Amino acid sequence: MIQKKICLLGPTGVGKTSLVRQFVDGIFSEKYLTTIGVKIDKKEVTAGGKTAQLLIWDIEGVDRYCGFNPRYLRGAAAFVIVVDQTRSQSLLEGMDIYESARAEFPDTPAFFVVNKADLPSEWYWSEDEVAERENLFSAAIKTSAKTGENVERLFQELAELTV
Amino acid sequence: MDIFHLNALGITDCALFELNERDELNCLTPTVHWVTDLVKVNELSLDIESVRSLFLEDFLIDAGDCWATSLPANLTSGFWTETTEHESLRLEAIAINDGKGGRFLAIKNVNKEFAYRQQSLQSARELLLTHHAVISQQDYLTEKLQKALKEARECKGQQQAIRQTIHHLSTGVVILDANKQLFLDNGVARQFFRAQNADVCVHRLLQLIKDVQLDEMFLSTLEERQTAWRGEVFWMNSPDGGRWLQLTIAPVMQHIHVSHWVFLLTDMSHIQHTSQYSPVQLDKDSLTQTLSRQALKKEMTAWVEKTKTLACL
Repeated sequence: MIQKKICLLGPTGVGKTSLVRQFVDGIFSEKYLTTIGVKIDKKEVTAGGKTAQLLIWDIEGVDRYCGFNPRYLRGAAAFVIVVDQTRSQSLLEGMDIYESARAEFPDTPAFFVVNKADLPSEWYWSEDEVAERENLFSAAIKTSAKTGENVERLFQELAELTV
Repeated sequence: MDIFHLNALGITDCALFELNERDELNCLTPTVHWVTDLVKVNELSLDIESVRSLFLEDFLIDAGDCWATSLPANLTSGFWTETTEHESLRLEAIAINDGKGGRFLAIKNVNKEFAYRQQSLQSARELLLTHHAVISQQDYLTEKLQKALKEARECKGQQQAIRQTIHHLSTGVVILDANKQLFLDNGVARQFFRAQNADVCVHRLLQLIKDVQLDEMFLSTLEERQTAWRGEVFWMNSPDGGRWLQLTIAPVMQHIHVSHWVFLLTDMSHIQHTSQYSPVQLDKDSLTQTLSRQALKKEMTAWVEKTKTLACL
């Protein structure tokens, strides 16, 4: 079976683990539990008539306590930058992480995910400012790990792109 | 005391492997129960036959570089979580090259350290998120404040232009607030009222209004109708004796309430005086050059009566 490594990156508390939990187990918890290190989950998907196994690397959020480690991205078929639309700062941090990752892996496809779509958008970025950044990515998608909105679609599109 | 004893005593929970001369990892601690969740070990040779853990497999690429050097080197994988059928293992791998030919792989069960770090970072990150929320609010408020200040600065500039204009007008201007306190006046108004200061200016204006019987009820009507009034009045008690004035009173409305009263004063005395002594010239209509428009109308009516082909309204 084809295996594809997908890395989830982003600042702390944007909902990377929640997206994985929703996609793999179909569950969501309101409680925030910070991720330490790396956890790898697997899920089979069908894309382009083929069955593939996505190896989803849920990587600890990048912040002042944990730097970006490019080693984790080695061999990745794609990486996903997750930001939180209730926190303006997360977009800036997300773009910093994107630039660090892009510097090391210039050809790896990258997805841009704006999570927490179920909550009111509280960041002060205009649609144009967000769109300008989205253009740097292979695809951009708004998700809600809580309601499951677009979560399946996100991973399906990743599979379609990489398989 | 070696690793077997440390493990046996529960001081550590560590799996140790040695890279042998055949470049195969040989398990030195086959009794550690979770090793088989990560790798498949040959029962006889204790060599690793295959790696089950995706994370470990990835780390072994970097470990290979560490072991390839002739100098002492260490490489740590960082924490990762390995989920088995029965439990979640919190692990950390270390590749060691002692620089004397000894090359090892240690995999530590870091459950306690993981819990400790998670507890510490949980608090720190919750605080960080709260901090971000506060900063975000602060940024938003700062932006709003800057906008308001900019508008205020622009407004102040405009106000200055209006003040300058009023100052240079040849018409007397007095602006009172809703409580009849002076907001602005100009030199012409003060000269008219023979006022040395603002208090006298206001006092004499109010006296004028009282004298010409434009009382509070009249002002209330203007306020209610939100309209200005203009008329000519004769002020008997003027500081210079009786004066003719063209007086305009205009309420400044903010929503439904008056915020200011504007009084415009033009001394008409000299015009009245001239008209007194030149009645003919004054009566002459500037448009028709007849004695008055009434005279023109009479003349036209008579002419229409005569010809009957036109009507005059």
